[in-house]
Amino acid sequence: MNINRSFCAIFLARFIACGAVIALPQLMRASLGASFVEAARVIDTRCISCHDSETREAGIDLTPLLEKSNSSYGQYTRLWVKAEEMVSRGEMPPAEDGSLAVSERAAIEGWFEQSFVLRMGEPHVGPTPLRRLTRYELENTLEDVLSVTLKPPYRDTITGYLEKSTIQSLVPSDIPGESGFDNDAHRLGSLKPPLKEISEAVHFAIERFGDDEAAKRAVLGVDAIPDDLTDDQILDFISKFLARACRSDPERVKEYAAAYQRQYQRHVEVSLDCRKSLMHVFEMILVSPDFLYRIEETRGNDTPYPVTGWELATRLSYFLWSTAPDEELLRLGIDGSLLRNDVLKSQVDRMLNSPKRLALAESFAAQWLGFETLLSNRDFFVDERWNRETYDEVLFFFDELIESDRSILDLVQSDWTYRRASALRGQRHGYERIPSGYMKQRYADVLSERENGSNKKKQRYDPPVLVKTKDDREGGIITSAAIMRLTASKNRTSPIRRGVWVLNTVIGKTLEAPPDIPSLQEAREMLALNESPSVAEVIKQHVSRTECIHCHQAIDPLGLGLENFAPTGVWRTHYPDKAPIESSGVMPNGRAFETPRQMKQLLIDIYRDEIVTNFVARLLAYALGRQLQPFDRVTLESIVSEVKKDGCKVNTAIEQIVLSPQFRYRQDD
Amino acid sequence: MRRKSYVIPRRTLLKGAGVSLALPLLDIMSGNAVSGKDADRPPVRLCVLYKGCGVNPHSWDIVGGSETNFEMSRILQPLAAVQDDILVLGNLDNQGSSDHMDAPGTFMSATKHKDPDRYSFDQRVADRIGHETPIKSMQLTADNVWKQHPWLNILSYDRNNQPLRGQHDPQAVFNEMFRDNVRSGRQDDLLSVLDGVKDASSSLARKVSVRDKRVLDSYFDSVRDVEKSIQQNRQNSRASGFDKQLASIDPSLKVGNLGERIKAMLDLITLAFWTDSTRVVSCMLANTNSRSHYDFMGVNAEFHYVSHHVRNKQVLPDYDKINIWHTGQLRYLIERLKSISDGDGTLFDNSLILWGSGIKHGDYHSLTDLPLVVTGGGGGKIELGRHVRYPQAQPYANLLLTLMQIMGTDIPGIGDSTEPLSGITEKANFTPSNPDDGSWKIVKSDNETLTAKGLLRISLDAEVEYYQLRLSDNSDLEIRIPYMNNHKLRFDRCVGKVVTVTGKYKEEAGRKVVTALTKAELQTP
Repeated sequence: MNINRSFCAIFLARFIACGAVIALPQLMRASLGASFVEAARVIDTRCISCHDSETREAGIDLTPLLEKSNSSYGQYTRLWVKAEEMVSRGEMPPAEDGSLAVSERAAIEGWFEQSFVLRMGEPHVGPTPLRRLTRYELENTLEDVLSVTLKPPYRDTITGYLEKSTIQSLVPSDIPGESGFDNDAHRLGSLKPPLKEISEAVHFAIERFGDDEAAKRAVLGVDAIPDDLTDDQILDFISKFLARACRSDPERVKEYAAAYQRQYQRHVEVSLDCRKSLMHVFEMILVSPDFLYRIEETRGNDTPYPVTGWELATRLSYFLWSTAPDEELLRLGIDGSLLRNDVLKSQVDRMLNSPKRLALAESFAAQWLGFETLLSNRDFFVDERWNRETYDEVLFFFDELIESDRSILDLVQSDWTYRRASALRGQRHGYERIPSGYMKQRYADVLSERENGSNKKKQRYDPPVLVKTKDDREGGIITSAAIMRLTASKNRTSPIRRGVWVLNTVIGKTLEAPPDIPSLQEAREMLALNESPSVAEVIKQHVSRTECIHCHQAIDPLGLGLENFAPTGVWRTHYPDKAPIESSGVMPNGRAFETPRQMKQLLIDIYRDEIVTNFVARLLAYALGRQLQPFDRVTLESIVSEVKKDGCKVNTAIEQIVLSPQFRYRQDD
Repeated sequence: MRRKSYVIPRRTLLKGAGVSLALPLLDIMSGNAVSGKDADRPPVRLCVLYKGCGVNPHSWDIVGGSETNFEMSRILQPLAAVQDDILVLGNLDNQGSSDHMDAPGTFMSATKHKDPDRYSFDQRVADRIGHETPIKSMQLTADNVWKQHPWLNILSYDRNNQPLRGQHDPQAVFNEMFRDNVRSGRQDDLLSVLDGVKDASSSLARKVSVRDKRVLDSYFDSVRDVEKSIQQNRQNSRASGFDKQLASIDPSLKVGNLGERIKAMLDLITLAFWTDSTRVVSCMLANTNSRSHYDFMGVNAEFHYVSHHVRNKQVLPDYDKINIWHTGQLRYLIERLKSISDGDGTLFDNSLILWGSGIKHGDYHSLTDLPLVVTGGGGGKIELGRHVRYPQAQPYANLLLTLMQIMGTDIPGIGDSTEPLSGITEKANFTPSNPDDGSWKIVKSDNETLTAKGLLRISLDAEVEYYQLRLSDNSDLEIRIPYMNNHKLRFDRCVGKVVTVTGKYKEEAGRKVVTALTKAELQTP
């Protein structure tokens, strides 16, 4: 769908400037005149012959779309999305049946836009779901609110990468939702919170806090809680604690402070121990919904309205840091200045310069690219050091994109990369290192909060090192050891799995499972192959049939082009059975490649727009905590175009997401 | 409660004093099992073991024999030693279709693919009997966790169709049973915390939207759940000191590979039943898209990869090996449970175990004729030592209904169930479908060709798979034919049936081996 650029500008400007929706009669859109009758006629004459309830080509029955009542959000939204996508990409109807005329396409796109993208001809942000803290966010937030350390020290992990923190072993991990991320509001909202486990985690954290003088100084302003407390002192402690824990305006903090003071009184009458009772009340606060959920006050308005300053501070902080806002951010939220563009931008800038931004790599990138599996799934275990090192190569790579404000396309191909320290020992590795001062700064940046200060060399784990890539192989994340391992089984590579991974994850193409596949034996006979064909020959069987070629001409060259990487990412020229590897190939556009670098360059040439759009879409879904919907299109396309104008920078994508109406506004049903 | 039944050997208690002896967990279980309040009638414990990825039907199906006198198939071989303790079921169909993600859910609820009704049968039982034990029910996940696809490993769903995730860490399972802080002393604290939260948060509902309020409702539901479970625990608290004794033991539950994890989980199930910590357990041994690598038991491949054995025949030996390994694990559990006395019998007698896969055919993901083993005496209600193949396909849901009834519940139905399944609690006495009438023999032969009639089976040797024609004199005629020969005659479909074949043969070590077929005719019933 082609969204008019100036339209986006108007939309954004209006949202950002006044926040209230005024009817803009001058807004002329093709879709305003779209008619259901026209769209239905096109579907009926051009699609139904293959996709009726009996033929159901590819398992798709489009007859429900002929009902006007199905053109609104509900049971058939997905079907409409799919149909519109195929039509707008020009993939359906197939060329041999005659492509759609421009006017036919416009009829479907226009009706779709009017029904699903816009509402009453206006863009909107969709109903905002309530968000609960994930386990990862809970642990970070407890650390920050209580000023204690709960995670194991980073550098001390060679011997026990599987060792979980206490919080992680008490609280179950979260189930990712439709968005692909575990911070998915709809998934978290549809499941009961594991309250018993969360209570145990909070209890553990509070015990830590109680034993920690520095923490108490930071949170309450005293090293130790006196034996006797006056009412004012109690209220002061509770207020200070609530201000950190509840991410809210002073008024609400005041209201809650009074409520929790009553709880304190009730408890202390029985316990006769004011310290104990105070800790007890702190525990209540950290188990309360105001802490565990990101409560936003409703205005009961189904047109978008801006969230309050402290709500925006909270959204921003959980997006970039996966934790509660710090003092500065919350202050700017409470006094309202965060609602100004310039302040908001400078806060994004500040936050991306803070070590806490590592959350984007640890949570967003690790889930999107799936490399968290290296630490969480025992089956991908090579050895403790290897798993930690290869995980860190990608973690640091992603973080470097933000640190050095690099392009999204560097994810595919870059002239720099991170190499694990163990691969750089000795003189012959041949990498050009970045001056060590820079790396020291980087470690201090990234690891400052995780250092355990151990100076025993043997116990220390050395993080990966930034180097210039040296040959035609490395660069980007696709060819990293982590991804090569994740897309292979332990003993063999699977070119199809790797090709599909690249298309799904990096380019954002969803592929349908193939219909009846011939057996390898049959295919071998059909192709008159010998009994032990090479991998490339076997793969070619896939494209021997017309129904397969459509997907496999895109999948296969990508997978075969990566065959030089063994399951652990090590470069190889022969298979274990000594057969030589043929990794050259031809992309769907007919361009040939010889090396992985060339292949990755062609990937960028062919799929540049898709790669950028996919990155922005995933990051936006992560930021909003929900799967993107058609009504997000206007915003998505506007962000993508801003990002492309600015050299496809990762940080521009982050900033544009934060500035978008989806991120700053709220809407009720 | 019979306190005298807690017998913990002295040497294990040494460890509580800081002596770190790595003893297998099961060594601590030497006394009688704990059998709840009514010691004369030990309770029945339900255990569901899910082994995904299906089977190669030829390697699974028992061909020939009678209900009580039958030969184990290739995959069931490890269970031959406990043949009198199992009930193998055939021709039970689940409804609809299935896929990788959905297979465990459909297996546990007998509902159709993507049906939102997922209330699983183990939870239906737990909702009725779970209040009698400290832990209502336990969910375990032995297979590796694939975070992006958590559904793969989820078996149990509660009455609101909420998924109950399995505990993956054996140590955490042990802790939940014996080291739960909430049960051991923090109960009042936690109740007071939750009370305070409810009080202080009472104004919250007014500030949030209708949609958000629904989400917050689930928070307060969870509060009520915790309160309820604390009250329940109080009613069922065990002899004091016992948990402490067990809690002080180092159960040596650090596991390396999947094999060790499965063994640890089976040990923990035994321990849970022994201590009557819970009476309902479900355990995911292998999910239906398992990328787990089985090199720990000698197969250098992923389970799911080798399960697609039709398109890639080379993987078949490995596929069978893994499934054989899994039936070996079931045997381990059976033997463990049998080694512990409970009431007048053993823990095994008072267990009810369903072992199976949500799909039958590893490559086609079929839901008909599921591979199922029922074992455990079910409190004396299960007639064991049998192979029952229903003459007409029966709804698999009927089996779940029957199991729920054996567990003492009056649940009227589940999924597409119609009535309790016959042939579980009593002998089925079906007429055998392929009776040997004495005519199975080599009908004629010359120097090159022969014609023979018999019951077609598949050899028990996965490495060199070949067909066998069982003859009336109990000998087997080998049939080794090329793929295309098989393919064109669709010969494979004849397995398990009486067939008359004609083809070329050769002599090999004094035995006839058929090398090519010209004809294969099924006997018409």
